[in-house]
Amino acid sequence: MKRLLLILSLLQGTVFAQCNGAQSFTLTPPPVGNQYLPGQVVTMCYTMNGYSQAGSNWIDGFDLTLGPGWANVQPATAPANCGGNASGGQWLWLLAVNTPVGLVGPGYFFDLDLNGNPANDFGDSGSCTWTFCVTLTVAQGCTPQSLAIAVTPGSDGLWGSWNSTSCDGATPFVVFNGTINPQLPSVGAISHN
Amino acid sequence: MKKLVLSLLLLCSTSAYSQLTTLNPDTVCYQTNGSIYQVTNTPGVTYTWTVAAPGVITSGQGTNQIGVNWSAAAPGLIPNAVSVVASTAAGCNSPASNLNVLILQIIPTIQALGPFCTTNACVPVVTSPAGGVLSGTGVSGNQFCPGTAGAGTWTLTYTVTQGGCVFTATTSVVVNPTPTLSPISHN
Repeated sequence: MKRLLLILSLLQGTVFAQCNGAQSFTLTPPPVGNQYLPGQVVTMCYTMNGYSQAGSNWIDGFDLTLGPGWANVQPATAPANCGGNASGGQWLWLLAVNTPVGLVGPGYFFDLDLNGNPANDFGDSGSCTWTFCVTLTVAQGCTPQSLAIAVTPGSDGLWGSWNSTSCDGATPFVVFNGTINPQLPSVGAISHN
Repeated sequence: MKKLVLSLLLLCSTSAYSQLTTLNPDTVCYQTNGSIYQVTNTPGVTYTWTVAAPGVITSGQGTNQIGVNWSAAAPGLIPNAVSVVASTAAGCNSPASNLNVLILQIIPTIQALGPFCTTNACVPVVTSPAGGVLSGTGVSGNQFCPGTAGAGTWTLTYTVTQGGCVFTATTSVVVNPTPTLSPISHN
């Protein structure tokens, strides 16, 4: 069925470079002055509303790209299964996935055949609203390291076993581009008698 | 009564801090002790001070205020003589704050003069550097008047004050009494 859809879309000339729906995020607590303090714990929730399924591509995962200022990332809430439980599969939190185009992760990835490897099967079918949350911890340090957060949605044609390139244009969605506020102490001028 | 005590305490506190200045360089009188250096205190922060040799930190290392003994330092300007870095418990350091120190020494001079007779007129006293104050018996302005001083050995002092430092020079002046003659006797 999926191959049939691909043939139809190619015949119609419908090849999408970008298949992602509208994306949004929340950061809790919000940054102050585009910065977070060392040791601070931040919850990032990401939402993508819809997926074009061009070339019968299905969403296969959400890859996180994090700046070196983040010491730790933990899963909090996984995306809901758009295809429904009846279609099988599940969203997994994985630190690394060896896809046909290289390693991705950490992030949430869809494992349709429940073998623990999202790279050897299809993604989550349909066009839904996917939301997930992760908990990030700011590193201790004295330098204003990057706390960049980007989410890259990827199709099963890119990261899975589907053979369409219609959604290969995986574009990182920038959530945050701030830095650590190391709160360096300051000393004013020396006074004397 | 309680308000009075509080007011006095506030006055004392204000007075203590008002003696401090951030003028750079800090002028330190040659061969003196007891310089105090201070930065605003931030709770939870440790202050590491560095003092150029031969200055010696005598108290307060680790705190926001130190005492320093400069008595062994030669006269002249010591760049970045006092430095301080603030550190947090996490080990983050501030940029250093630096202060230059000028070890000030002035050597006043008084040109020797005399001896005089009490009948001599006032003479100018040659001193250096300019700007000081001449004092002593028989001194009037920048002159020494033997007649005013009278017979004896007198000490003249020339005092130069700069940057809170006081430097002096002294010299002794002899004023001889005028001989007196008895009336000429004759046959």
